[in-house]
Amino acid sequence: MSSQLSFSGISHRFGAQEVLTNISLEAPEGSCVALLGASGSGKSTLLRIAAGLERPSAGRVLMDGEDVSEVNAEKRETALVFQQPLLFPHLSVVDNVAFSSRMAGHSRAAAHRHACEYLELVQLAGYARRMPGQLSGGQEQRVALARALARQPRILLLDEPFSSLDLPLREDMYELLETIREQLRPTIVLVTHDRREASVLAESIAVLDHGEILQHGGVAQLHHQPASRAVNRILGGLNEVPGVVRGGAHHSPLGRVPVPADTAEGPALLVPRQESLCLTAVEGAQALGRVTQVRASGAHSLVRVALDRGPEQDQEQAAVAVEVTGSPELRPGDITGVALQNPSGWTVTR
Amino acid sequence: MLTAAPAVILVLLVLGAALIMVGLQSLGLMPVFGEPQLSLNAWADSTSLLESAGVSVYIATLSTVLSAGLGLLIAVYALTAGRGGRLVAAVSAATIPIPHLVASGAIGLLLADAGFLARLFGMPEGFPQLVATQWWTAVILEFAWKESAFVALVILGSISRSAMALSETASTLGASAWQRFCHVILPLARLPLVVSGLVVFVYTLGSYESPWLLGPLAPEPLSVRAVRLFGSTQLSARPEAMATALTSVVIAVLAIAVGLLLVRRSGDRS
Amino acid sequence: MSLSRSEVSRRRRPRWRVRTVLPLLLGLALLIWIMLPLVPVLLWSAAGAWRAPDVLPSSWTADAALSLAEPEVLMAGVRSLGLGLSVAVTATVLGGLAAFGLRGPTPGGSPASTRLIGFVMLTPLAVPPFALVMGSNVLLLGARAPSFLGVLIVLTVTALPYTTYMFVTALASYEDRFEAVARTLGASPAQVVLKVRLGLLMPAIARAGFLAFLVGWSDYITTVLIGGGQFITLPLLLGSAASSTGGEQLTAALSLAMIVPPVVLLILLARRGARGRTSS
Repeated sequence: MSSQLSFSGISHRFGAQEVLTNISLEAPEGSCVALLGASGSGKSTLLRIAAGLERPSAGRVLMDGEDVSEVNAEKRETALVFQQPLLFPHLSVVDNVAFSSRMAGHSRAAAHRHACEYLELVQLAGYARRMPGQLSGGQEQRVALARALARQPRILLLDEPFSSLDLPLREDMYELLETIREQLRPTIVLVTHDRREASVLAESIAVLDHGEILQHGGVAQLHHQPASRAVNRILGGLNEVPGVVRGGAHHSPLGRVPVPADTAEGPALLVPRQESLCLTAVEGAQALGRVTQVRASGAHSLVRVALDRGPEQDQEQAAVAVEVTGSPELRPGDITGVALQNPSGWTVTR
Repeated sequence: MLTAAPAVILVLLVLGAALIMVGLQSLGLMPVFGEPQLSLNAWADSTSLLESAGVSVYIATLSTVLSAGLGLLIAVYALTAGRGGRLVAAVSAATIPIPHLVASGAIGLLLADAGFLARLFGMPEGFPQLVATQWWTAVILEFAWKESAFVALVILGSISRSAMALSETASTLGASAWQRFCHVILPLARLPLVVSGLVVFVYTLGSYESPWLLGPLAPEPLSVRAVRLFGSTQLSARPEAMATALTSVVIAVLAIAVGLLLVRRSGDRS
Repeated sequence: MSLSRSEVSRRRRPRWRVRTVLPLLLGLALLIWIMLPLVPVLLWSAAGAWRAPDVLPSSWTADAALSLAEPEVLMAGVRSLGLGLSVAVTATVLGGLAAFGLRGPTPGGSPASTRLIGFVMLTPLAVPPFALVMGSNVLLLGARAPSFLGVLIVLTVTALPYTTYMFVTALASYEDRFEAVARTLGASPAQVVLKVRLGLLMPAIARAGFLAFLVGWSDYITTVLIGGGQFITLPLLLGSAASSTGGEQLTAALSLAMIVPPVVLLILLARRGARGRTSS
């Protein structure tokens, strides 16, 4: 049932304001693509365009290569789940899930039978006769998911579907989505502002900012090889160490760090993730610095270190954040060594 | 926009035409019989017209003040008194569908000389006359009985969601029950109170049944005077009825203008 | 130790009493205020003989209740019901359409014209009903409209501000994304209107319809002036009973006949509303 979805040169404006600029993006059949961005980045608008609820000002939406830009939402065979469950309050749970079958003209009994399969899938078969008001938030969102899946959509569109749930419930929903993917293999486009959710659920992430796609790539690639400072920040990277690329290596207060051979020479920022840095002993350290802050967050601690200037005179003052397991025996003012865990690094210039 | 057309056209047509007719007839330009002739005769008996206007405004003002006070009391009690409060709110809301005509009949049975209330007290010598008095006591009480339930419903509808949480917050900040009433509930209730008070004033100003059944024969409020003149067989009565009706429209519009000013001011403050 | 505790409790007891007794008294006073006028109606409706100083009737009879079953009273009841339902249908439909027209950005509608229309829909509130009736009477006579139609038109105008306002508030909190979801689930535009919009607005439709029904059901002055005494409804019978002396029993019985239907309707609506929210 699932299809490939692609956006080709989509632009969209509300009045004078351009909210999407020349978006091209592909979601392969059976994959899960996350659109990651802050609120106002245009990601929900892109999803509404995919669902056919909004006509783009320019560009085309393709399903399996076929242009569906002119196809209305009710004919498009996509299903959309919002952050709010939006269960029809005047219909029971099973009537909500049976809604698409009823719209397609099936009998009440057949629609209910069909709906019950999907209620079973989301483990709410016993709640069929209840009214939406009698469910908890997590249950309502499960019903909303079942209602969307019962449409048997070629593309499943999820707009921040788990954002209003608390953390343990969200983990349950991740499990459920995993099960659904195994059983039904739908193509999923997920809109989220939560980089962790995007990383857990999707194979690839498209980073959206001010209506433009900054980078689209695999989860690891986006975390460790961001295309720009903005992508690094949106994915939670805290470090931007200024320096110069020369002779296949980046030179900075962190020392000489090898970079990929095709990296252009000149000034560049080294962007090691806080998770891939470590603290070392002072003797023989690659770089030295003074601890400015230690902040505990659960099983990890974030240590901020103001790096000493390196041997080269023109180097700027730099600071890095290092994530360590447990709580280190360090206080602000202590001197520590800092090193990269990987042999090579990644730089950005923008 | 287009879907509003039937309703808007109906209102404009009926209301506009009615007001024009009232105006023309009050000036003698559309007599029932005879030639149209511009005349201010209908407005000539200004003492009687002004007296009627005074009676109407007196009844409407006292009824509004009483309804607003009692309605606020019912609403506050409903919000703060737990189960008893919910009972009072439910019983009060259940009286809303009772027509004013029925309420006037009921108040008559209750307050008349030798009515139920007098009998409850054993019909003492000095029991005050309440129906058909020069002070319009029974009329005002009927309006206050019906409209206080309306005022309470409007206040509860607009503040019951926010009032309890904000009131509890205020109590954690050290506000006493009285302070919570003055500084939380009252400011929240001001706007619905003014709006519902305005509706009550305009309604009681134009209401006919209660003053007709429970008021004295003279002086008449505008509604009773207009209806009596309208039904009269005298030729001169029709323009006078229309002049009376127009007077009530003018007073209602003035009251609404003043009320909207109050609404805007209390809107600015909150 | 034990002495001081009893002292404390002795000091606290009067305060405890004031704090619980005062609200109780206030609640009781409010309940009496709300219920008292209905007591003589109930008593008179079943009273046989009830002479002046007696607090309760000395004999009981079903005569007044039976008089409600007379053909002219029954016919008046049918006319009142018909009038109430007719006003409910026309004012609810027109008010709902008007509220949709007043709603948010529509092609060709500026905020100023939307405000103007909203203002026009509220103007009937400013005109006392008797003035509206007197003005429109000449026109309705001129147009030779049947008196039922005339009464219906005037009462629809009277009820429109209430129904329109009900729908405007309901639409203000209306969630458009319900319709978006329905469309992505394959509902055609007509199905969206019938299955989603009507379903979601059903509480507002019920409230607006109830208010408009009350306008028709309880009207006195419009029916008297336009109907010219030919179109007899329950309020007209009640009006003549209440204004004549010695008609207490009939007044009380007719009053009950006018109170019971709308109150039953209100309870039904409230129960339906509660069921919609909590169970199937």
